[in-house]
Order: sequence, then structure tokens, then C-alpha cells
Amino acid sequence: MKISIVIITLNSENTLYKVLEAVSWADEIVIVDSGSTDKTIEIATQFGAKIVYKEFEGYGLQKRFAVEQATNDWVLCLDDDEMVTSELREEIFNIPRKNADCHGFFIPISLCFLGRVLRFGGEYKVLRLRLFDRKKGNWDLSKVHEKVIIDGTVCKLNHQILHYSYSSLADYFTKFNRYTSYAAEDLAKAGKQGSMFSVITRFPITFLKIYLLRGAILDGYPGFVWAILSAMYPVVKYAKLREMNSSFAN
Amino acid sequence: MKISVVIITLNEERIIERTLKAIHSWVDEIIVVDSGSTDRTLEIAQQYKCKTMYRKFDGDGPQKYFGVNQTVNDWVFVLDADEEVTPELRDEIEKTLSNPNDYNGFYVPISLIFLGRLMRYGAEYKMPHLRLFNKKFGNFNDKFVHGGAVVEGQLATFNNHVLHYSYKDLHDYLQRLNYYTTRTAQMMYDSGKKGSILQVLFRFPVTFLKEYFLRKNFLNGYQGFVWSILSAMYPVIKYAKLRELRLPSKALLNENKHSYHHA
Repeated sequence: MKISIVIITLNSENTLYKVLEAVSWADEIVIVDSGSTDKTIEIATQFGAKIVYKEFEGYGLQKRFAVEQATNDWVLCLDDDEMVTSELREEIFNIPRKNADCHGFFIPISLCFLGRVLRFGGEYKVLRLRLFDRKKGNWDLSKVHEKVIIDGTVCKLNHQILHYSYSSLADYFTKFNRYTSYAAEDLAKAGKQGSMFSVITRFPITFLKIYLLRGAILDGYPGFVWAILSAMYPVVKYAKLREMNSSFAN
Repeated sequence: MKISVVIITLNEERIIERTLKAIHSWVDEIIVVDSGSTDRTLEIAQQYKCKTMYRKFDGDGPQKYFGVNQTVNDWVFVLDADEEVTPELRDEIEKTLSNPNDYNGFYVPISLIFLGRLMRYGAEYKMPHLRLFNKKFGNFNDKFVHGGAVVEGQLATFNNHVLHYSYKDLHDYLQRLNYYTTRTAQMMYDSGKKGSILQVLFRFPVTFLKEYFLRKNFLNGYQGFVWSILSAMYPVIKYAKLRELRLPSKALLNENKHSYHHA
């Protein structure tokens, strides 16, 4: 089967070269860009990608649009910081013979944070539906935390994608800030209020859950930083939700 | 005594009207030094009869120094675009300046408004800043990007305060936190500081407890909690960024090179 790699980008120069290098075997690379001002387009051009511009209006919509631009029905959707391992590539090559009845595949994705693959803390081999037959489904339209929905059989691949999500902590925070704002907007649209209680209790609960229960403590220093930043996420999200629902803004 | 106000601006349409409303009727001159606003800042400034001028921004100090030198009066009050003078402070200024005695400058207490609440407790309440002075005896320093005014002679502190509407919202707060921690980490790195794991680990609870209990932010309600937890994040992020600078450059991207390079 022929595969199109589909990636949405915005100022992705830090990671894009490595990402595209890891999928240069694909039949087609589709890049949907929402107005990069760095070398993103230049890098994509080097790899012979099909480049389409679309104004960003939410992740779900952007990815769905990107899938529609592909020439092939089978698409592998990657983020601009996700690298396909050579083992996964081999596994994908062998799909037609092994799994003829599957319409989509979960792929394990592992986070690399501060130079380390986090084995604990909930970001190790997280299954995401990323390789699928677009005749059977596509991305939903959530602004953030978007998912692929498939009407058919979904199978699972064993080898992983490495997610170099944050080229730096500064980059992490830029994304943290953006995602918590989007998530708060989604919650507000769903009519959620966000109590003071959730802002206050989410921090210790999330920290303990990730650091001890999921074992990020075993990932050493990167595990600690990860746990504390993850614990801030719901705090900021709910605080932003409360801000939207009332006159907490200046 | 006649008094001039100096405000430096860049895209302040969200906030500057409140600032100007609080001063335009009683000060004698308002100088707005703008560094290239693309919003309605200048339009609003002109509505309030400010004298506007353009200057390329090269730091807080030099920009304010320039502004002070543009005023016609000796007594100059330097405000930020997001600072509102309270009526009580206005009365105090008018009374004091009608007979400044031997004073050459005054510290102005500045209080933070965070998420819509005046932070009555904690370190952000009535922080004194030297902002009102006789320019014959001092000015901001045009060499230092940060740092306040330096004024010779006797100084006093006002009792009443300015309200500082510092952060537009949490998004704005986090953006600045990200920017300042990166800059501080780089400065620490350049001066040879290392940043231990312990600092990253312990600064969070220590700072939180200090802000929330010792500085009494718990009395500021919900906003006090959010303020304390975000303040506690600040050193964690700063030290984590400092440690990050010591990672072999781009190690995180090169580490797994071999795993997908040899086919």
C-alpha cells in the first residue's frame, strides 16, 4: 500500500529536518503550514514535500484538511516533532501481508524530555491512532486533544514513534501556554465553570499521580521536572477557565 | 508646582485609557514616548491631549531618561502605561507639591492588581518606587536597561498608591514568565552558575510556602493561591532552564540518530 505522510506545521524548523529524514521512504509527504516565518518551508521543499497553506483554526480542523490533501488513501499523521523509528518503518512495510483487514493502526508514541525517553509518568508507548485509511475516517474537530475516528477495524503496531516534543523548556512553555488557553476555551464552550477547588487540588493530586503512581520518580531528574510541569497544566487550565468565566482579567 | 507625566508605550490600547483618565485633568503635561505601536495607543493618547513622540526602544532606562528630558516642568512623574493613580494619591501629590520643602523626589507605593484583585497582602502591596522627582536633581539612567531613577538630596515616600494592572491575563503572565526565566537562566549560565538538581527540586515547595504563608498570600483568596503557585514555578523553571543549557547541545535531537539512520 502507498502511504502519505501528513504533517501540520508552524515554525517547525527546530525539529522538522529530523522528522522528514525519518520518513523520506514514504511515497508522499504533505505539509500543511499555517504561516511559518522560519525555515520550515525551505526544509519541507528539500524533502520534496507537497506544501499547502491553510490558516490555523484549531488542530482537529487543520489535520483533517491536511489528510484531505494527500494523494494516497493511507495516511500516517505525524506531529512536527515526531520521529518514526527504523523498526516502525520496517513494521509498516510489512503491513499489507500481515494485516489486510485493518483500517487503522494504533502506534505507540514515547516522549523524549530533556534528553531522555520517559519510561514512566504516562508518556511511554502511549497508543495513538495515526496510520489509517482515510476512506474509513478522519480527525474529529476538537480545537485541542483532537482524535482520529475510524469506522472499521483498528489494529496495533509494536514499534514506536519518538516524540521530541520540546526542543527546549522555553518551547515547552510556549506550547504549555497555548494548549492551556485552547483547553480552557474548549471547556468554556462545553459550559464548564471550573471551581476554585479544582484549581487548588489539581496540583498536588496530579503531581502525586504522575511522580509516584505512574513512577516518573524512576525517570530521574527529567521525570521530576516532567511531573511538576504536568501538575501545573490543570491548574493553569482551570485558572484560565475561571478567568474566562468571570472578571478575573485585568 | 507644575507637574509633567512621562509614559513610555508600545501597544497599550487595552490599558492606557484608564491610566490617562486618572491623570489628565490635574497634571500640566503628559509626554508619551512610543516605540512603534500598531494599535490605537497614539490615537487614545492624543484624545487626552498628550504630547506624543517616537523613539526606538533600547531599554526601560534610556527610554524613560529620554522622556524625562522632553518635559517642560521640573517636577516629573514617571508612570507605566498600566498604572492607575488613585484619587487619594492625587490629593497627596497636589498637597505635597504645593510646598515640597527640601524634598527632591518621592517614592510612590505601587500595588499589584492580579486577576482583577488588589493584592493587599504579600510583597506586591505598596512597593515603593522612586517615580516622582525634580529633574534638576536626577533622572533615570540611560545606561542601564533596568534599574530605577537616581535622585540626589532628600527623598520621601507617599502614603497612597498607584494600582498596577500588570498582567493582561494568565496567558500574558506565562508568556512573560517564559521570557524572563530564559533570559535569567542565560545570564546565570554566562556568569558560570550551574544550578543543582536540589535547587530545581526544593525551590518549588519552599517558594510556595514563603509566598502563600509567610507573605500572607492566603489572605488574597483565590488570586493569592494562583499567584503563589505561579511564583513557585518561577525558580523551578529558571533552574531547569539553566541546567538545560548545560545539556550537550541538541543532545536531545541527536541521541537517537542511529536508531533510524542505519537502514
